[in-house]
Amino acid sequence: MTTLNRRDFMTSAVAAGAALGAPGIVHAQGKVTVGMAWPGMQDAVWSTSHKLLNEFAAASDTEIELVFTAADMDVAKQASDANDLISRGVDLLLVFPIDSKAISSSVKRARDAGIPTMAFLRQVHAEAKHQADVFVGIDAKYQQLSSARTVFEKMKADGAAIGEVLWVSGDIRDENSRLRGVGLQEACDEHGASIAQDLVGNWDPQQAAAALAPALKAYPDINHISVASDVMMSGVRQVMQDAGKWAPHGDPNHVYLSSVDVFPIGLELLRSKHLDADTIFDVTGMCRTAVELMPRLAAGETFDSDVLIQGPVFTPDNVDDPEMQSQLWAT
Amino acid sequence: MSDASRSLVTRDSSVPRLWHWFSARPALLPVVLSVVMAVIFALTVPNFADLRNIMNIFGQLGFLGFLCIGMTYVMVAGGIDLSSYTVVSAAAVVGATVMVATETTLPGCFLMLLIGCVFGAINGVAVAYLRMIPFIVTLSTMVVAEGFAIWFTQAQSVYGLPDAFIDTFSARVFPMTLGITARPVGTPVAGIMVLMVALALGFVLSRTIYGRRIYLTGANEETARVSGIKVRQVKFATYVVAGAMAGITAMILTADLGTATTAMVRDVRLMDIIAATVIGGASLRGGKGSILGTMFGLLFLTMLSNAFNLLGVSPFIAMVIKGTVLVAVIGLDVLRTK
Repeated sequence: MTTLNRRDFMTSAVAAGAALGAPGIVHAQGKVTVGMAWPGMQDAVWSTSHKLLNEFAAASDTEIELVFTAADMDVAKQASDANDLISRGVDLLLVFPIDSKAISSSVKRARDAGIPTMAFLRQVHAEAKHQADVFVGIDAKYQQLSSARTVFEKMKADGAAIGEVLWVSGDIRDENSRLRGVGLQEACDEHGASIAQDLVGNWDPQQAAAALAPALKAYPDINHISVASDVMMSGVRQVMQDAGKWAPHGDPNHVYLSSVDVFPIGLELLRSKHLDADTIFDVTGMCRTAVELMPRLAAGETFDSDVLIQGPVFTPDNVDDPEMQSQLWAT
Repeated sequence: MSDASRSLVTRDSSVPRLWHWFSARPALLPVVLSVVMAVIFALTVPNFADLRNIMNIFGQLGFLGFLCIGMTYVMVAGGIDLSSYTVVSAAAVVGATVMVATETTLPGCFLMLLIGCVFGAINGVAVAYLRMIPFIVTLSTMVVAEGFAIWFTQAQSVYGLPDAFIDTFSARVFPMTLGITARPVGTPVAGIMVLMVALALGFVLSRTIYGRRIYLTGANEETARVSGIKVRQVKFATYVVAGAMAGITAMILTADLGTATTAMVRDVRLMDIIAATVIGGASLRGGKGSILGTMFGLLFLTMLSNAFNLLGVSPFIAMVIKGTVLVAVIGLDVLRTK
């Protein structure tokens, strides 16, 4: 099992490296000033990424100055902030879009001023007229694929039957949720499994519980539930406890669980062996990569494809490894 | 009287005289504040006085300027409008949807203006004719407009707007060069529009009989009624003006962003709108304020945010300063009326 985890970890590192072209090679140049048009600081991902970007920038070979602005989730304010940063003459505009379509106008203004743009975590909408020069984000499809794949392989090793999976998805309008569903489907295809039912949880534990409860009755023999995020895990746990299916790995009543994000509840359930695999929402890797790309983008380098970060898979066997612990940010 | 005592008397009397002089001209405070800040920032903040940045600030006045003008009308008449920023989104998503569907500009623009006016009229009827409390009424309308926008779009942004619409309202005209700016910089149409509307509605408020009626209604409703002013009509009209301003803001923002969303302007900006109006000399008790003062109040706040962004100072410090200035100005208003 350790070998598998290490392989997954290496796979993610190689994938990120391949996307970057030549990892570690940073063109030395003068100071790079990066304007950050951020949505705010209220969300843990926003504040953590702000903190980590500053830390990685401080440790970078190239001198990088980050100029931070926060729009408090106000789309018009984010456009104004971007205008201010363009007026300041930054070398690079780093945008974490509040609205994936509205940000296109700021990208255009930056381009008109000769400033490259990097979209962070949320991509500029595919149909928008003006796209960022590069997107650094999470590989949402890989998250669910790697988590579910790890569970399927564990089931195979345990001699458990692989058949149908209950899918507790996020918001149907959310691109991340959709991609995670695609990832689960791929993992199912790889192992000859199928998705029995798509249960829309809307990233809400109560809604997830409401959707899962009748499904467990409809599929009493189900032995794998895949959840789109740890954020819904408390609802899943409650329903499974009520149904008498809440048991750790090794117990005959155990239902295999795969999830994504590695939030505190995920860690707790990995340690108690109720959760079998959890792929991290790798904010650390995303920030590290973004900082590595900044001097190159500012120097005029172009990138053919998006840079999608693939975080490692946490399992009960590796959850307390120091290497894995260093990846945690939400705990 | 000795020279020393004469000097003391002179100094003592000059301070209240200066105080009274400033009190009689509340619009002067934001003008002085803005000019002083502009000079300080121009000397200390890199790129602040660059023509590109000056035009950037001018353009940003068009984002909130119309809402501030509407708020000034309402506050001078003794009311308050908390709904304007959500009405912007409601008007924008409907107008934008029609534009995308018809691939034309005018019907969508008309709808944006109409929806703004309808929400303004609802506020006006509730406050002026049903005698409901403005704070509660407009707070409710704020929620209604936000809910409507989310329901109408299912929280999805509206995009694919006609190029003619975007090109018209987000255009930059009269390119010019100044100082170190290498490339010509155009003047934002949004800034020009807000300037023209400010001049027109400022003239109406300060130089016409109708404007005097608004001031008198806000200063003392009973006196205004006894004087023959149709107080209800006056109040109703100010809310409709505020609604119309929200409709124009919807056009400007939708064109600038190239999309209409349910979160175009958020509640944090409501504080900027009220702050600009109060710094501009308007009183929360009504009967005071001017468009000139409000526009300079907004200019002061916009320059402050811009300079902090240019310097890389935390935006949260800017929030603290804005809030402190607002409290100080309200305190001055209280002192002024004593």
